[in-house]
Amino acid sequence: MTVSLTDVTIRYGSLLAVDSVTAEFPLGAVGLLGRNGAGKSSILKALLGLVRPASGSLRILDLSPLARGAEIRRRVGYMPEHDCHISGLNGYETVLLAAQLTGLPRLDAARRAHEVLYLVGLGEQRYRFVAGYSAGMRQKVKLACALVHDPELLFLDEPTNGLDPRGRLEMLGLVRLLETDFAKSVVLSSHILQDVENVCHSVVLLEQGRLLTAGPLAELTRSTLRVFEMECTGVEHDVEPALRQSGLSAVECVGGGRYRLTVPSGLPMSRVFAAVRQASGTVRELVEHRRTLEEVFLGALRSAGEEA
Amino acid sequence: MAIYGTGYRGLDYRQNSMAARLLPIVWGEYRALFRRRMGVVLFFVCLGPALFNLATVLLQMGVLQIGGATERLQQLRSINPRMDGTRIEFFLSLLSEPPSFLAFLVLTAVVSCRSIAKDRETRALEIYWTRCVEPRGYFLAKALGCFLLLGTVTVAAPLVTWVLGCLLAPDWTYLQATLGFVPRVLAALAIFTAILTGIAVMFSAVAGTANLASILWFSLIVGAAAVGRVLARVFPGEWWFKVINPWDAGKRVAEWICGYTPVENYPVVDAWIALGVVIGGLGILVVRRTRRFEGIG
Repeated sequence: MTVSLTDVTIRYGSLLAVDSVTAEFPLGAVGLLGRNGAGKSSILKALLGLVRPASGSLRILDLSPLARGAEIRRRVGYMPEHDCHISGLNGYETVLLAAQLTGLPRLDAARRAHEVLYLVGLGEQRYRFVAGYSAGMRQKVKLACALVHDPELLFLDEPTNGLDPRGRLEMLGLVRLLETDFAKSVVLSSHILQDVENVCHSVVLLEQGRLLTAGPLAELTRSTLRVFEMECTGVEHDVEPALRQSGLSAVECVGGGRYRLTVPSGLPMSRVFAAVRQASGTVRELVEHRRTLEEVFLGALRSAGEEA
Repeated sequence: MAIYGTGYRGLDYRQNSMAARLLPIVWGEYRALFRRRMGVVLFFVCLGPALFNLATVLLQMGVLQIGGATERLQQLRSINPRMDGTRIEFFLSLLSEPPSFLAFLVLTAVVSCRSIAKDRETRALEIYWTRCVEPRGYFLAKALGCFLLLGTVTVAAPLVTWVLGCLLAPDWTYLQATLGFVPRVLAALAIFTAILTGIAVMFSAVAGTANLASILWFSLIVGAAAVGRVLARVFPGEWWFKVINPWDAGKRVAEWICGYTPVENYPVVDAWIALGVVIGGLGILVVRRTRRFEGIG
């Protein structure tokens, strides 16, 4: 477990940003998902000791941010949401300074700054002033700063903000690479469902400072009903009546020989194969249908609304 | 072809001490002015009074021969101690002459007042606060960087002038005449620079923008000087009013450290109190404004 929040409430004056959130972030890539103002950045800042929670407790890498802030900052890399740079510095100097501020010796910091700038794709532009960088390059230099001290855990706050489609794919590719190839734990805060779906294994869904739902993506996107998509070939008779007769709850033809089947629990799948055979066809593909993260999010929103 | 590897490697390092972590901030602040061409020009313009003093010493030693300048200087030395390289007034002129005052004021506004406020403007505090740097250390590093840059003008330049004077003099007379007070003068100039730079950096830490910090700084120095002068005329003999300006108060403290009695002998205790009030008041605001929780909203 990299991060755990227990009943965390964060206030800015009278504004309630985070309301009694309890969640655990496992190792690997975790998406912190929610609309703008959901409290994602506030949680990240509280974890880094930049915002003091009104109540509740936080643990990060088994340390308390309030008691062991310096230790945490050494082991965590943070990519802020907003554009922030030190004026008058070029890309290399910015990353070098970030490394030295974390405590890397000068030579290690210099070597490392070059390496991470190449990794994020800024190798050739590293001696240009950051003030003259495009939005995508600024995002990359922030990522390089977050990575330069080889942190165990990365907090990426809206890393694809302001990026064009190609830049967005590059950034997500980098984040995925960090998690898969370099075994970094990543907390990706975003309001873009697709970004989280593409990169993360687990998600924490927030809405207006409250926790909607959390858990592994595979579990959350699994349908509560057993829904399958099937593709048949060589069907001579209409297969739908045969499928209905086999005991399926619902059969829907989606075109091109494809059907969406809702299978009641307890019904063996061999009945489906038998029904297709009966229509002189062959099952070419049968895959379990998963909900998209958007469906999960909207479903959780509806549930929260009903509860309220 | 890249000379560095493009792959990502794990890193095994021993974390540097806090001082070593703060050193890049000090050095960065020192170099900030020289990153821009206008900054370099400004630096040398502000170095003007110190260069004038150097030229005076070179003329006095006979190293520089410019027309009748040497003779003219000889005449001036007898009537104006500020033109005599062997007098304490010559070295303290960096505190009393209007060009030096203006140069110092502009340089502090450009360097010290921008130091922290600029980071706040560009949200760079978020970079510092999420690294292994404490706000107090960050403030001290910024102040030290500014002090070193301004000290180059106010302390290092007079030191170079004095050393050159000693080396270029035909005998030991220059060294003998000045050795008694120059170390104290240099210490006084260093303390004066540290106090004034510290106040300007405090404004920078408190203000939301670099421009606002500069305006506050100018307002304090020029405004307080104007108010002080007016009050001194209204209440003759009330020296307190003359030291409400940090520049005058700092100057008085520097003169006291040198053991120099000025014509207008302001009470040094009052000068200390005035500086203490300004530094204390600003210090409270600085502590509030540079908290980790305060820096990022």
